[in-house]
Amino acid sequence: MILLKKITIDSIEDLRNAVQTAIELEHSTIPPYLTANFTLHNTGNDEISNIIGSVVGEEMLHLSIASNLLTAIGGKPCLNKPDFIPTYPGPLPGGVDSGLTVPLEKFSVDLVQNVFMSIEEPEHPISIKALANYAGSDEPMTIGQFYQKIKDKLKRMEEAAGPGKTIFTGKIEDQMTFEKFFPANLLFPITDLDSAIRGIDIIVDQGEGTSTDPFVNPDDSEIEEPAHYYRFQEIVKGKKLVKDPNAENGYSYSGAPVPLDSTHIPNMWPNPKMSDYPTNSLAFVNSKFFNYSYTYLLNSLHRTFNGEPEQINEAMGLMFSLRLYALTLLKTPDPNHPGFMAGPSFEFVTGEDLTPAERAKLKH
Amino acid sequence: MSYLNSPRLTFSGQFQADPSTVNNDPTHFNNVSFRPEYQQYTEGKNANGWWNPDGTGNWRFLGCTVKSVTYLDGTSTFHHADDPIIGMSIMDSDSKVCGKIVDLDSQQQGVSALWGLIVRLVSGEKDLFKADYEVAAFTNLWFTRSLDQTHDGAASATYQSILKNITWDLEESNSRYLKELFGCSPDQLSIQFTVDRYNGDHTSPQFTLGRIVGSIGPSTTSEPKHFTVGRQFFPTNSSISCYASAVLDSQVKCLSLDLSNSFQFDVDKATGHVVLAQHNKLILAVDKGATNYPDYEFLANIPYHEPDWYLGSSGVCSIPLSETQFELAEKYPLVIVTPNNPNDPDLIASTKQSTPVFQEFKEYVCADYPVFYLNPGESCEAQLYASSLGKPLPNRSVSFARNINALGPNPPVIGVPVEAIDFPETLTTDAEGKLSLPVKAGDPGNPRSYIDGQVYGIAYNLSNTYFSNCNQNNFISLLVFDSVEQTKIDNPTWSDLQPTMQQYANLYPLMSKGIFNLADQEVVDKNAEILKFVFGKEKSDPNYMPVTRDLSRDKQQMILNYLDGILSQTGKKDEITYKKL
Repeated sequence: MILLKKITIDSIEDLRNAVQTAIELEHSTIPPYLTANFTLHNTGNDEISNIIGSVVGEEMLHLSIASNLLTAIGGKPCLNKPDFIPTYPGPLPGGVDSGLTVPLEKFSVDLVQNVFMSIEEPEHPISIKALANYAGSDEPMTIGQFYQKIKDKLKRMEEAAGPGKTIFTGKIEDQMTFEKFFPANLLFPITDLDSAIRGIDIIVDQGEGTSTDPFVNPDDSEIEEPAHYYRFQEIVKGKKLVKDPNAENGYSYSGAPVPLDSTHIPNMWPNPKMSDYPTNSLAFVNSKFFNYSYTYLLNSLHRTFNGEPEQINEAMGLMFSLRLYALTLLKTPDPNHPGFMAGPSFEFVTGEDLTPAERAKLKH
Repeated sequence: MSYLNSPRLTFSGQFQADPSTVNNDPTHFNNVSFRPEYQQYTEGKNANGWWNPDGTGNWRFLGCTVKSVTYLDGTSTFHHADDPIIGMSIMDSDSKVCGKIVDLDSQQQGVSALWGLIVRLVSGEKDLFKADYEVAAFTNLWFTRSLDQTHDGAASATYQSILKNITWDLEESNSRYLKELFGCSPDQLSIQFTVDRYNGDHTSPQFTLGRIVGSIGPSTTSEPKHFTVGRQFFPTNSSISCYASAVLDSQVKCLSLDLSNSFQFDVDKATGHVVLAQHNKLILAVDKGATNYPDYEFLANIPYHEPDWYLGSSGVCSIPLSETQFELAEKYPLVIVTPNNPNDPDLIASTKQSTPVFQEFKEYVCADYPVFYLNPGESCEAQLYASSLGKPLPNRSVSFARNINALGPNPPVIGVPVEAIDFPETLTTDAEGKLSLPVKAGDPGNPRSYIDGQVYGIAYNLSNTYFSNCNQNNFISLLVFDSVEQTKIDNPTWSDLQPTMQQYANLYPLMSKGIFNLADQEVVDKNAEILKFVFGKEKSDPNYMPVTRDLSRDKQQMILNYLDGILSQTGKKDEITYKKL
């Protein structure tokens, strides 16, 4: 289970900072999930790839909800600064230093089990065999507790705002909805306490489920699907989670197979860094193109959530473009590690086009 | 005004051009004979999908920086200390996908155009200006520029266009140059660049990259966007040099001469540096003689051997002229000569005894933009400008004729049926030396079978001269699409779309293998929403699909109607789009 540092929210500014952390946290899961998913491309593992892809899509939704929430309470989402992206391998934003270390690695069952499931692990996961009780601690917090705290503070501050006043002072037209992609019942303008709570509930429910049902509440999903933690478990178990009246908690991993064939998964060297590659290598050049696309994507999303919602269309184009560069990297040998492939590093490349000497091999 | 006028900045660096090359062979459009290996790189004698089957279509600037500025008063500097924009970056978009490089057609690959390109002048995190590059095709393509290279690596070409929709941020800028540029041309700028030394070796770290030098300057809406009405220099030996152009700047009494695409380069074996292959002394002169009896009078040395001339000044020479010389230059054709005796210290005498390298054709006609896409029933108008020694040539007859000499390769057959385009044989220029050539398209009727529509060429010349007196690179190229039966457009089935979708899947493998396999009905149906979005975009949008921009109006409508049908049937959102991100 990922544990976050305890936060204090005493003012609207604190609340905005907490929601900014939420945006960063939701984003931070995307590079590791995407990296694993890129390595599954055309390897005959579509079932697994679709599971990871469905989680990525929902993380994007969560990022969007959190950004709309921040705008709603008069904040300015910031997505285009270098430290918006965590360092991989490392803790996730807001996470405790001693906690989970999240890497950028090729797909493996170990990665899903030890990292992805830890990220998504609820405070009280339902043991599909037998209900087990996790001893919850007061601090640090789980992601669910983190969002619960934001909800509590939203309620308290809205009540405290007084009659005729509200903390929801942001411009509604600055929020992003995107019906081509996310249905209106999942991504909607946040205008008041109710819609804010509803947004957070979607995030938590899709991620963790509830303490009694591993499936996402039908109101919070387009299709019937387990919460992220249990969806990842399907990969580990090799079978889909289904309702099972014979099982102790009414569910078992006894559905359609989720097969794995590791034969064609590219042997990506873990946690690549652009500066690791010699500047006169194809790996460096493609890593540069990948990172420019990623940086441009964050720029585009930043604009999307800061008053130019139609920029989401440009962001979509960049997401596809990013995938193509990742696939190219995964076909490019890692010049430093014979037998391994290069991979996407998800680094923020600021300013000009590097060179001369590729800006002295980057700063880090 | 154009990039040849002041205030001008020059920049240089690298560019990336990453076209998919599977469609470089017209026969690859034939779905029936298409083979999987056409999606592989060339291997030995097997051309397969040529040198870049995995191309994205992307075109971008890389590591380009401003090298010099020339002010309104004609003075120049190469030093950051003089003007802060020197050293700043010229970049493309930072918040959308890059521009795309696109051939008009598999049988007209000599007018590759840039679509959806953004141009920015960048200082750190700040854009001093940001603008849209108006779609433009390259011209003056030659394949013998770099003696140390082969194939596309040896080639060179120029792009000229305008920058529009400019946003400026000059608040904290203390650049005299930018203040002058904004002051005289706030709404539109002229941009030209020359690309060469392209690397087409997919095993090289420099793969898909090449060298670029460029210039940006003022622009007015009354002038052509894609060439400069000025002095046009024709090479006397086109295998070792290529066209040059110039303008006389009466404000500062100088000739701005663009030699950016004119000379050959080689690698200096001792230093490994890329250097000009040409070492001759070159002299700018006027020719006061009569036809076949030249009489060259010295104007100035051409300072093209100064260190860093090419990358620093982008091949543009500002040559100061005295009052007398300026009058001579206005009156007589210009010429660039090399003295027969280079050691003769007497410049006047050695100019008389010299050999021309570039000659100006006194009278000249050129189409501003010579590349058109037409659907049956549509018309286009090509704008032509006639001039004499750079001044408008009014009331002159210009002739037009079909010409497919530069199109190909065959098969399939090119330029038929001839009736599918209709245009007048002659027209006369107006008081400003301009004329507008209307071309009306009919329906070619699918003469190429497996490639939609047909390509056509129209050559032109002043009626009293020949096509060979023009820069033949600038002939008019047209792609005229076929029509589709209205019933198929209105009520399309998958089998109506399938051949077109199969073709895109075959010819653009990166898309079909990496994102959407358009040949798979299930994939298309499940992604109907996102596909409708990209197929319905403006052609100038860099996200427009297909990237090759060779989809006819009718087929586009048929595809959109099909996707609408899918969406209304299921009423569902795309199921798998986000899984493909």
